[in-house]
Amino acid sequence: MRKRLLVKELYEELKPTLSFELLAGSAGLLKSVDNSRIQKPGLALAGFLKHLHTERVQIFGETEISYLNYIGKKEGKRRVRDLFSLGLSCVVVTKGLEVLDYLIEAAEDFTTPLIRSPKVSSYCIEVISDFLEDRLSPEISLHGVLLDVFGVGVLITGDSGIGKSECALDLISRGHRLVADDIVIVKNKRGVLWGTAPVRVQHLMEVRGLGIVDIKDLFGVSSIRERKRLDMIVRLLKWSESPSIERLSFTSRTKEVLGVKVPYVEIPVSPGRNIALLVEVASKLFLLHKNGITFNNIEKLLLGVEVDGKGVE
Amino acid sequence: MKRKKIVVENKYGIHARVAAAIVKEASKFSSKIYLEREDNNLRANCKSILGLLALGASKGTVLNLEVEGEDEERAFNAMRELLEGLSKDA
Repeated sequence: MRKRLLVKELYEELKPTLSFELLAGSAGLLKSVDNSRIQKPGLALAGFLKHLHTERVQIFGETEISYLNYIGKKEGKRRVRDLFSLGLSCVVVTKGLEVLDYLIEAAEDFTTPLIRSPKVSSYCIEVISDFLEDRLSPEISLHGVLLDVFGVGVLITGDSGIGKSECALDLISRGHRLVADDIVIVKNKRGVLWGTAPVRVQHLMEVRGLGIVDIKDLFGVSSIRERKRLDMIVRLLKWSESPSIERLSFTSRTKEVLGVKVPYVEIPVSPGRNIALLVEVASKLFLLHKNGITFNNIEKLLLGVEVDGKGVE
Repeated sequence: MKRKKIVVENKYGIHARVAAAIVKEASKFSSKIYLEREDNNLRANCKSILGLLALGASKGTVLNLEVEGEDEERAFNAMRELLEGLSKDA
């Protein structure tokens, strides 16, 4: 689903970082910003309104303000009203620049929030873009446990009651770190998947028989992580439900999450199998693959059986 | 698959005890049972408690109940009854 963000949220959440002050157009705070890219109106003020994206945050920096001063009040007012009449989502004036009265007037008339920051344009743009990208990137919630195992972000999935939480607990007690249990929010930021826990249940885990436990309290601050890249998905399956168990090697199976292909492994569960250990090994295999290390000895076996060491004919 | 929109009606929303009751009921069925928040797409598996708590559904929150599986008819009815029957003061 395409996400929406209110100008109000942008204003309130970035207020501490960018020392925002709202100059005019407060009635427009409930407008939404639907694009994570910002825009500097530049030529739009010269009358060329063709590529102006009203849904983006418009940044008025030194160039814009001094251009308005340069063309004079009468002309400036007309151009600004032409621009604001398009229905801009919001306008940010940077560097604490003096704002012309007609800019305030236009903001009020066209209910466009006019926000000012004392910080320079380049810094404002960086902070705003970062924030927008974070809030507007596509996200979904997945069912499973996300852990950092040897630095690899592993999502353990499987049906309820298969033992995901128990396996995760085992991994945590071996020194690996929990990101989220049960419900993982995954975001696609520029093609990279990031997982976090919903704030309400951060650091918490449900262990059947023991109830809800706080991992940070139990295992200490080094046992948790706020967010982690999703590198690999491990699915736990009942032995009877896994007809195609991998017998040869760590293959290149993948699962698609938000358009990104994620390496995928299925591990059959049965009494006596140490699942945590298997997840550790899977993570190590992932690291080896990522580092371009292939298993020569194993690959030789896959190629064919040699006759007296002379190769396959 | 069966779907239905449900509005949380009880005073304290889906808190721990309500969540535990949902899990208890959902676990009786083999169907996959989910509750999804309309406003932020958070999706919780009704067979585990943390997801339900993560939803942070309070009075007035709109949720989508989704049931899929062999016993979906029975599971759906039971879940709907439970959710819609939450006492106003619970």
